[in-house]
Amino acid sequence: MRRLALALAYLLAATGAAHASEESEALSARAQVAFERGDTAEGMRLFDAAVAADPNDALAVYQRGVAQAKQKRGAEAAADFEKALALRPDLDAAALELGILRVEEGRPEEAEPLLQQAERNPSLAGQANFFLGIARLRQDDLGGARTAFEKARAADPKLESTCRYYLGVIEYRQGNAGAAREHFVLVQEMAPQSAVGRESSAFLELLEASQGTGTQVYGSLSLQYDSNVVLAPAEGLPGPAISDQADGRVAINVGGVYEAWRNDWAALSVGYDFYQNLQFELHDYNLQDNRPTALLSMDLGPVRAGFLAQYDFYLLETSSFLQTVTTMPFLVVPEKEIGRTEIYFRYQWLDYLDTDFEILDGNDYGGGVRQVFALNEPGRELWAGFQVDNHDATQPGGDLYAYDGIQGELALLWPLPWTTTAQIGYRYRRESYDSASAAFEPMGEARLDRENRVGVAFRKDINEFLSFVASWIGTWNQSNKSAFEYDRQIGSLGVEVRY
Amino acid sequence: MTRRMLSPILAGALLLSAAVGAPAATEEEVGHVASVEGNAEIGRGGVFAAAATGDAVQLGDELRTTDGQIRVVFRDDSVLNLGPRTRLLVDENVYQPEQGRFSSVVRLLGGKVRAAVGKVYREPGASYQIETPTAVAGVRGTTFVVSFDDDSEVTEVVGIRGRVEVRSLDERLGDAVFVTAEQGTTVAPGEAPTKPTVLDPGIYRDRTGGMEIISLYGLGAVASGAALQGGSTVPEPDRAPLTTSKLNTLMDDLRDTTNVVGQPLPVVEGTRGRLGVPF
Repeated sequence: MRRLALALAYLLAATGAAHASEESEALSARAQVAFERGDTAEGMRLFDAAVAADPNDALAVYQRGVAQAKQKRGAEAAADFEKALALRPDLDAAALELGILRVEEGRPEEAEPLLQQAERNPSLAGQANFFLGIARLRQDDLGGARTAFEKARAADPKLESTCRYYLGVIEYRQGNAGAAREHFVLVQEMAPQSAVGRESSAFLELLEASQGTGTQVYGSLSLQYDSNVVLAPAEGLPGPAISDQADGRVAINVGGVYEAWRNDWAALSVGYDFYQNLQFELHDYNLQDNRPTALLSMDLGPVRAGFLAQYDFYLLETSSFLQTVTTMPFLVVPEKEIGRTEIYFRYQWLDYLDTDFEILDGNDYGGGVRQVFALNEPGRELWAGFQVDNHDATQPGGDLYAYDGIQGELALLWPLPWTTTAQIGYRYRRESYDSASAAFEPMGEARLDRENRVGVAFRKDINEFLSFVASWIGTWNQSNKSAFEYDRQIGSLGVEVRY
Repeated sequence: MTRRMLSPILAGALLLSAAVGAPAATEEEVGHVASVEGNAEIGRGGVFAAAATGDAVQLGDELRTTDGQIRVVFRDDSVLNLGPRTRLLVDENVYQPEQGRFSSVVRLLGGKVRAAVGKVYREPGASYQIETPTAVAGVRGTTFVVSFDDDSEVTEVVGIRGRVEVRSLDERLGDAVFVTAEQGTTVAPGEAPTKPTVLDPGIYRDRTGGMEIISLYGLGAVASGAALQGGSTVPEPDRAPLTTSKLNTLMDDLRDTTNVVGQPLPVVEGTRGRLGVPF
């Protein structure tokens, strides 16, 4: 008799538990409807009621955990997922969610076993492997991360573009430029307006310019028309007068960059540029520039910083003309969805080797800030910049050419169909010269120049190695000293190669 | 044959509903979509529209999924989870708590459905049935899975909690059988249900797996995880380092500052900059 009573009690308890689970399931479902209607308080009340109806209903606890996480209550969510897993160790969905939370909390090593459990469930394999990839990336296990991302994209086609992006990141970090480029190009095509699409563009720019990939060489050849080649002031001042003499020329540029050193957060690149133009008629203005550079760039987490050093040696025809040394520390602050801010300081030393021009020797100091706005599509950007600078003369009489300058600029970069990019920009510049410049005609007041410049350029990429470029630049310089007033138009058609 | 046998039952139920003043069957709201994963639709009057969480489900509606799942909570606190490639008709839903009248009939035309049946069906006289073209599963407050294979026309019923009564749609084909937790039975066309057997754990998981969770926001959706896997955000450590185009921009500012009017340097400055540099 007693055995029968015990059996009945057990049966009633079991039946009660079952009923409670149906009740908790209905309450959970009603909570989902409440959440969808935006009634978060009612949704949470119903989830709490579902858990209260059957504290052992792992699914109700799990669902409440998801709702908690969605409301950014990470600790409460984690507690619910842990409880759900304690009630039902085979609840792979809870393992997945808890694993994702652990990755986001910066505890990738704790995420690993949870995500491995979820990975074994075919319906969760895609997501679990994706976050396994992230967890391994955080632990610098690049090989393991690659395997996980490959599995994720195979398991869930919806993850293709994001997995491709991370595979590109892995290849990039391992120095496999070709494989990285392949992934990033595909991401750009698949998801151009997403964050991964935009970042892929940034990586491709990086690869194109050879940062982190070792060596790059490049060159360009262009045919140009210049409406005003000889930009020299009037008689009695250095050089020939502004003559409005137009001429055509061929311009050649050859250069290369070599990454000499790199660690996890910094890289040092050295480069060399050679430039030569060959005027059709005004041969005295054949100009040559030799430019070695060194660039230290650092990734400091939220801020990127760097230091550029550059030397230029110019020749006019075959005579030494000018040498300059330039140094520039800079900061770049990426802003998630907005774009980036660039801040720089620049110092330049100018030493004219042609004695006719020595009066222009001096030091340039400048500082500026530019805000770059990302406009929803890779490569589509708006730039707005402001700069102040000062030219300090070092030769006797050089004060004639000492000035304070300010300038503002606005530019738009816009990708067009057929791998073509357009760019249009405007710059206003104002130079207030030293009082000594009052000596120029008409005398009595210091020289003041106002320059307006407009530029338009189109670039057509034929492939990753070859591009055509067409550009036009117009400059209108107004001055209260007529000797310094001029207009100038330069048109250019050219081809660029890089490897 | 099956349809002819079913019709008098449905007709009777509808007449009963009308007699007690229930709203017109086609407009009667009987539940709501609690969550949707992937593609699922609600058909009404022959027109199908994508289902979304919160959508009303009316008497006579057809629910169907392709590669997705849908979860519906009914006014009687029953919950149906439809698996992928499933079609289900809401044939009858009488819910009159004041009179203690509860009756529900849904028709599974193909695919798989998991039912958690509300406690109201424990009341005397209450009836909850899932019909397929070959079988009827009737319960009183329990959870189970019914699947119907379009090709073989075989119905399978697997118990999760409680007890399910399963019989052939043709009542002449033998007695009903009772399926309890982790047991299963099948009903082939023109045959009586097979004797329920305890399922191998692997088979049980296979039959019931993937049917119990249709998450509020989709799996893996917690916190910023969804944005991360959707590619709409890229955490700082995974972003591109400083690019040279950005440096070029800065470097060409340097070029500008070498603009000493009266010297040939603008020749260099104006024509050397690569695209990506304003001037």
